[in-house]
Amino acid sequence: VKNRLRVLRAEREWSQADLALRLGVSRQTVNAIETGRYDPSLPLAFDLARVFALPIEGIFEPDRTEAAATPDTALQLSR
Amino acid sequence: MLIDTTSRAQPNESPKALSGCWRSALPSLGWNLAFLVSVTVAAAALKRLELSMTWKVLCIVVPLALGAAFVHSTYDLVRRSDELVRRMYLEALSVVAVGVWVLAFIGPILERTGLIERVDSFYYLLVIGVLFVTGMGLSHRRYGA
Repeated sequence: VKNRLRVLRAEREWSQADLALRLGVSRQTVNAIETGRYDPSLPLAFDLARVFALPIEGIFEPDRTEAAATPDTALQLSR
Repeated sequence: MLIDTTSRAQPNESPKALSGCWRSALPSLGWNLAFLVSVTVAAAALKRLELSMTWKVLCIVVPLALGAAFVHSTYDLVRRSDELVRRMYLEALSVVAVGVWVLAFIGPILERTGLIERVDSFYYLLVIGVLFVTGMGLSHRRYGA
């Protein structure tokens, strides 16, 4: 899952530690999410959405490979 | 149906949750060290000294109490950790569990080959330590933490 965390954080001039404090997680968690090495749980994704006042899909978007695995795409591929 | 998950136990009940793996693990490591020291001292005292029953009981009770504190501290550490740190612990402990499982079967073979005289608790402790550090290292590298 891709995300816009770094951009959103930069827009608000928050450090990773600032964001971690708002979310109640460690800075390394924020860093791992930003760098795409870790996909957050649904509750944490909701927390992120709340902190940035955005819908979850405004922060995260599926990777191409994952998007290709959606049922609609699979249906198209099977035709 | 929507289920309210906002009342779930928050991992950030204390500032400890905001620190990284190693710093937040210090109390647990401290209790572990105290436990190991107490076990070593108690074993040496029981072996070398003529102790009264009271002291013998203390040689059991003190390490047990420190061991209990270590368990409680570790449980508390895991409970307070955020989801990534908890996952890293889980992955490291998985490496430990599988490694000890393998050693349990390989140990007797090693003994028969004569490469190791006897696979005793020392080897298990060593392997547990090495595997945990290895597992945490792998997790740190994977998550860039």
